Amino acid sequence: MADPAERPTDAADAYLRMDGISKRFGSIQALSDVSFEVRPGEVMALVGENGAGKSTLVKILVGLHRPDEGRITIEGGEVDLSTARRAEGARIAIVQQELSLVPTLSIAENVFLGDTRTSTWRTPRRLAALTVPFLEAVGLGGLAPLREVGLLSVAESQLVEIARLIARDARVLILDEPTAALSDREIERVLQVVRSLRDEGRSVIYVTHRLGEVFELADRVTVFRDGRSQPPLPVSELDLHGLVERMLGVALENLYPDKSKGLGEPVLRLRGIETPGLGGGVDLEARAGEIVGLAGQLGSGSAALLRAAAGVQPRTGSVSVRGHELPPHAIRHAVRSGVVYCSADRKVDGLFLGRPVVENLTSTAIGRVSSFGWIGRRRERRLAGDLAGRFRIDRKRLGSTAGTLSGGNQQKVALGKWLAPEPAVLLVDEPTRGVDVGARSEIYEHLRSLADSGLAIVFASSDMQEVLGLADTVATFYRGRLVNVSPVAETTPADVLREVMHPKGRTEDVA
Amino acid sequence: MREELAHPTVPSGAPAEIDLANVDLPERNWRIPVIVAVAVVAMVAVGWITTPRFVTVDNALIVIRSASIIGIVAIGLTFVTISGNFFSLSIGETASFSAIVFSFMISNDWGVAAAVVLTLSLAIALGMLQGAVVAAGANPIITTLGAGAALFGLAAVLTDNKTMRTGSDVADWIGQGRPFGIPNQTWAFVLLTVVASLVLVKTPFGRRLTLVGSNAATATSAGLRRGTIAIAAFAIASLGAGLAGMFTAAQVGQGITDQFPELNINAIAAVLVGGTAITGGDGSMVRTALGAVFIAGLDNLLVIRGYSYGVRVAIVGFAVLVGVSLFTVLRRKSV
Repeated sequence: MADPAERPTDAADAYLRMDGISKRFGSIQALSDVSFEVRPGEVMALVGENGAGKSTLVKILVGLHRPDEGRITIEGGEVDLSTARRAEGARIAIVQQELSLVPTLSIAENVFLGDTRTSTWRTPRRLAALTVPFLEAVGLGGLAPLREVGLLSVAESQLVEIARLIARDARVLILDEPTAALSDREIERVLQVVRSLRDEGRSVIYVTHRLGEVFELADRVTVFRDGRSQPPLPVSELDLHGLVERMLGVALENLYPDKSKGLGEPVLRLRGIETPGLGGGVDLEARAGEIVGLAGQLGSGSAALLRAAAGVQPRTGSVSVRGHELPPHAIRHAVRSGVVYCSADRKVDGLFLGRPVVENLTSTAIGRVSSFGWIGRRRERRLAGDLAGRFRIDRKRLGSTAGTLSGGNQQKVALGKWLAPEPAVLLVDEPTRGVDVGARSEIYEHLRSLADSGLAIVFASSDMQEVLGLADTVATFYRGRLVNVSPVAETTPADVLREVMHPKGRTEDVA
Repeated sequence: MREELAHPTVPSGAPAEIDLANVDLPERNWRIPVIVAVAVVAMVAVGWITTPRFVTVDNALIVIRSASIIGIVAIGLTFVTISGNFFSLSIGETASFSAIVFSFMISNDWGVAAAVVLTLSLAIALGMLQGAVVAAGANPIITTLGAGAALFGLAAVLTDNKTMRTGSDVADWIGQGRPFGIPNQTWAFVLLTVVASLVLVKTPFGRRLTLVGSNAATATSAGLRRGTIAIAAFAIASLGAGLAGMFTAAQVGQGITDQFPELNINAIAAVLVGGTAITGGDGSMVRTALGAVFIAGLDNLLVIRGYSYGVRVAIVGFAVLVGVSLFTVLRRKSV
């Protein structure tokens, strides 16, 4: 339980409590001795890195996982949440990242989907009438309840899901990254609804990666790290910096390597780039030894710029490498000219998960390890061993299929294979997505040492701290436009946050 | 905590302390080849015990000759499957078409050498054409289904549904010759298996084909040419069909439109029983070859025991289902 010296907690005032929860999956201890609580009329933020145990905890609450140890109480009485039906009976409900609405059914049918209390014989019209108050509760009063859900925007669907929870009269609402795919006006709408649910006395567990929302919305925050919980803290006692440190378990200064020792000649020059998802004619430069960080949310255009520069997607405007102009939409030409691109989602287009690590590492340079139409076994292994050494990938795992590696090691393979063609420019989208803290700091070190060896590196990240911590130059993106480019020393977290969230709007500082 | 994470040093590209070239990489999925081999041995053993006629020299020659035809086609088809393009359903029709073309050329005295070269070139061209359509984004199953129907119809029109006779000593030798007691078809099958294995495992083309099949999106972003790979894979499969058509036409002395009614299903069965990943990216030519022997042997055993066509097809289909289920489970476990 919470350290009493840190913050005295009154056991009586929590609505839902979890004590000493442990859960193991095979050899992985997902949760160890975790405590968690939420009061009535409270928004409790649940934050932590990927793999910290947040989703395991949430799944225990909704009856998808059964804890190995520990007890769960609601208003002081022990409850059994071992099946989804029991969790529903305990009036705990969840809105998941992936929407679970049926797109071909109407809003009303979705709101009452699986609700055993409504009669089978309800006509659509009566069902619609019943739905109206719930839609109004989530600010969707203007929508026709018989509209097909497939026609709604993501935000509207998200709100319909919340309406569904209210229809079931859930006392504990779990929102798992509800804003991940929303624009900020839509986010504001969702946050508004969450606040009103809290004001009705419901308990809201808000799982998010957007730390800004923690400060905007939550009353208290529980930080998870490596499967352990930290005592809940009132948001008013925290700042962004402190919260990030608690999540990472390491001071920010120690997570990131030193900045560039000296910049060389411009290597990559982008002029007037326009591409699907990015407009306004972007100009950007990257010099030898420089790491340029593109900060922006999902869909801001930062990732599109990388893909366009790499020839992965079509573009207009000019991309030149060391003075050599690259044709648009020509990956092979870009690679030959020294521009390589490591995608954000290694499972989709970064790795050959079913093939050995060796083949993954040499997949970008098959020609180089071959002569006279024959792959040289020794040359291939020497190249793979060399790349593994430079990225500290366990050489004993070179023969294992890539899919069996941990997230951090997979990412190192996905990055490492791009050193095989000996690039001049490395473009990386989300360099540390799904990578634990230890491996993250290692990847940062590797990127910095590559830059120090003369590469120009441009990376895009939705993690503002990562951009500030790793980059020498920061470019901010918002809604398909480049907002600003400045040396990292001349910008602040508040500036960057404002530029990527509300370039013209509010200026208050959450950090 | 801080000490653990603070500033790991990045090693340079220093030589490894162990010589990697001498380190044996662990064999992945060793169970699959073992299961395929055990299936073949079990099939022969069951035949031996239950059906004395199954293991006579005469019957063995029949089995290996038909296994060779299925195998030659299945080896080519394996390239298509590993490249992530599932199967070609025009293999049987391509083989029949090739048999007719070959017979026509022989009977019109074009010369055996010209007939061989032209027949196989035509088969390759037909495969490349289908590969190009697939490379442009069409579904491989639909494309080859359509191409197969078109070829069948074209063959019927061209021959007016008549049988083309070969009637040439050299052609007869191609179809019936048995150097060192082994049929020509079988020599070709063995040679093809060896060459295809080397191409798959040792050449850049084989590696690229495997990677494209493993993950097409990753392959594209790594700068591999998906389209070229698809065209090559279908060309090789079609070449296998051309060889099968030529050998069979030479063997039986004729070419007709429905010469290979079961070849599509048997060749696909051989690939699947051989444990090639249906979604691509993993497979082996030796296993496909064993799969062909298994399917041909099983079919022959059932024929000798007097089962009807329907029962035979059902049993082969069942064997494929068992194999595919087993290999799918094994693959899931190993990843």
